Amino acid sequence: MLSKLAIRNVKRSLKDYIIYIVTVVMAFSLIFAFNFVSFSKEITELSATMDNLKYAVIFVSIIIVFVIAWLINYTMRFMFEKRSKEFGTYMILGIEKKQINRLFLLENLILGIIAFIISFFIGIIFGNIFSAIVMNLFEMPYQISLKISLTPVLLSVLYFVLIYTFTLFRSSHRMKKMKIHDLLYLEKKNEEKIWKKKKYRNVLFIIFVIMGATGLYLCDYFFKIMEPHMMLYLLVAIILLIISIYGITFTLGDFILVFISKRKKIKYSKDNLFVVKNFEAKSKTIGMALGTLSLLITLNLICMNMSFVMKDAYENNIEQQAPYDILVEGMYSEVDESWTGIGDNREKAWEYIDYIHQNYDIIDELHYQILTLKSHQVSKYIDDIGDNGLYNYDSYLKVSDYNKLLEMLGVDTIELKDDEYFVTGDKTVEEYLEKIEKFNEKITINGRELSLKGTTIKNFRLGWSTGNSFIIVIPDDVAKNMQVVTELYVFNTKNETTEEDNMKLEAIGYYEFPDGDYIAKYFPLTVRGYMEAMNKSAMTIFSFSLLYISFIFITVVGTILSIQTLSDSNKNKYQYKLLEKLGVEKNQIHKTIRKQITANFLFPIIYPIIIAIITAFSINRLFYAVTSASMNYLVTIFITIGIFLVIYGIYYIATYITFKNNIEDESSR
Amino acid sequence: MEILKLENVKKYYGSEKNITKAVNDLSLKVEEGEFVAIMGASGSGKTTLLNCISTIDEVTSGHIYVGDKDITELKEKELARFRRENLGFIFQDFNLLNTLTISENISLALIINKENPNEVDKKVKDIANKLGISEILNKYPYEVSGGQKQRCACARALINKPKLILADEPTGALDSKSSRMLLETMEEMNKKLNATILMVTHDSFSASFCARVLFLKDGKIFNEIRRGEKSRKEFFNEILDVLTLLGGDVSNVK
Repeated sequence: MLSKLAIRNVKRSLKDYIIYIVTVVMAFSLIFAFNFVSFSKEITELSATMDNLKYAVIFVSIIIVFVIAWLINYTMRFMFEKRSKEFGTYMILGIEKKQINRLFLLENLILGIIAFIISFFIGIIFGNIFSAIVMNLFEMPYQISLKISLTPVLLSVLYFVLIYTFTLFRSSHRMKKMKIHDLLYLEKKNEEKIWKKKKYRNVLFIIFVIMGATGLYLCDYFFKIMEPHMMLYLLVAIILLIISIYGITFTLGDFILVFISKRKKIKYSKDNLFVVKNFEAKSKTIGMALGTLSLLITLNLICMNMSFVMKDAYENNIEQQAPYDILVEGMYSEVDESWTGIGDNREKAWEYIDYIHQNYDIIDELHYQILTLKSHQVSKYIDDIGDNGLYNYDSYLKVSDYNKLLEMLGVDTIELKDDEYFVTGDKTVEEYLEKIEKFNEKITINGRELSLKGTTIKNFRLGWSTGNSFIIVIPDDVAKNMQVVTELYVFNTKNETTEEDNMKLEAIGYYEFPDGDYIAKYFPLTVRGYMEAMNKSAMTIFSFSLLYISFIFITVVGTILSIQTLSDSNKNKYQYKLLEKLGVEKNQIHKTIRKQITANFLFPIIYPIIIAIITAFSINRLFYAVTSASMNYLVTIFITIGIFLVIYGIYYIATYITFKNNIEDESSR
Repeated sequence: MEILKLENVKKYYGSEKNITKAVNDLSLKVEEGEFVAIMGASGSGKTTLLNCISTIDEVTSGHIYVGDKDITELKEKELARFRRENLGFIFQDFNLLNTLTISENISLALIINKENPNEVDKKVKDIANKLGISEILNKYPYEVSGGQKQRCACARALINKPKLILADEPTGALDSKSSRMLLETMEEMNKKLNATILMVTHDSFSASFCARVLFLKDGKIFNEIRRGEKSRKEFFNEILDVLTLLGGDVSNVK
């Protein structure tokens, strides 16, 4: 009889359960999709390191399971409150609580399983889209496939079981605590206040703001100094930020209220009183949930931002490390081996070069040297002597080589007169280059005085000089009687290089021992195809995981806000009816509804957006050295916020429409 | 025979500093087959009293006996069974289940009591006939009128032949015609089916259908009158007289 009643209830109250189903379907579609992609053969075989995507997704899924469990628990509580009167009636009729509980759990489980099955199919669609995007990233053709391996399905089932064990347990606990009286009169109950003393709330608000500011400052400080022993700073910063996010959500409502009620002009104009009072009640009673939402939004924005920054960093990394299809470096060095770590590898290196000449269609090639006089005429301006000590000496590049290198990149070359020198470097030395330009000092090389033509950070590649972050370009005929810092050979091939090419070339560098063991002796060579594969998989793994988190969070936030606002609509129905009876026009009521929903949706995002913009600054500091010169962190963070707001806006509109219908459509219930 | 007996029942709300004595040391008895109304102004404690009797709420102290059972001593699990077998409820806002049809709503009480499934339909039809709702059995609660909903609730309360039917403002949400029909139905339930009914109301017209009216003030019984052989109209006037006293300064009356 019980299961019959449960099934009948499910069938007939499907409309009420739409929110619940949508929540579960969305959440599990994403879980399915990301798992499918990370386990799909095509993706894992893209490159050797892509296998790690699996583990990244599993790791992220652990966080996701917690968040989804919380979300479904929240949705179930919403359904429970909506149906409390019905349960009360059951109890009045003499059904035992245990049985009612079982009924409710059964209903939720049935719907959960239905939603799970639906999300399986939606997950396949999403998964295919994600795969297509990833394949596109690797410039591989993609075919839609419906083949699903068993592991992601089993994993998703495991997540489902974990989530439902938790939520059903919570729900059952909630039911146990309920008295029949509570159930019957839950709708009429006023929510309890968490902070009773109003006086302290404003003081607390200011304290929370200060905590937040301190947290952000510490965070930035940490990224500026970046030393392992500073981890404590970061930890403290994170704790402060979390407390401040919750605290501000709790107290901001009251702060605004006090502000407004002191100003009669604002208080009594239009519908402000109504909206503000509604809002105050909200921040008081569901401050905890709103705080969690703010936290999720903050994490979401930071994750999305990181994902974009990472993408740029990896792309830049490829350009910096492997500017040409094949780069044979460190062939020979006359400078102390303790400094360059190279020595004489010419014999082996020429084996590579011969092999490349024989096996590849070469479009362009260059054999060049980085030279030094062990002087400090320019490097004295570069204070920051790195750990590797590469700034110890000025190192030079002939202008003909420099121009050839630029030409091979497909960018404009420079002209240098016989009495000029030019300095180029990467982003990390930008301020020193400015200093050099300011002092505009003449240098003397081999008895000839050279004046500064200029400096640039444009088109510099770290790969040019085995990791040196700046280089001095000099006229060819001055470069005499110099020591070789390092010797390189670069090629541009007709066909794109691949991971395989790297393996073949590296194999030349192996020495084979008589007993069959291999030992790597020498292969400082950079194959662009290999670098691309490595960086793209690392980038995909990071971006993919971060996007996974942010998609789930945005779903969670949108759903919870919708649920909250809609549950308000049931409670507010009478208030709005009353307003109508008091003679407020329909248009005006719609406007008030819009204001109320806007307040609900706006409230949890203001503080996170502020935090996101400030942390974007800190993140930029952290990644500054590795991102491209054209990368602008402000643009990135605004794109991030933009994407977030678009998805958020969809939820907002959907909620507004449903809210309006709820209020107007009395007969539907 | 006594169906209901209350001994020194107290129900206090609130914290130590701010106690509301909703029911204050109240004792009363209801005989089998009686139709009793409890009247009083808002806040006089009538709904709280009914909630205590119906086990929806717990008493602060005192004892409530239904039949020979002390319901204040029952455990939660026993309470469910007790309600199932002994009590019928009629609420102001009906408390019907919107997902079930009228006939399913009525049969629910039987199904819960594990009645023989073959008997269920017959019994539902039988009671629906008596209460004049057989036409709407296959409709949903939101498709019928308030009066019909309330008669459905009556049928549900009655179908198990409970010892005691508790009604909380049953006419509260009905228009006057529907109210009258419902009260006549309840009067018939009481007379023909010998149902014991305890009804809370603030409406003297509703109360005039009963055989006995208790007046509550500040959680205590203020007065009690019986209809006896009087006509309904005479009784109605008498109730109005008491209400006038109740509304005025009590010390003047004493």
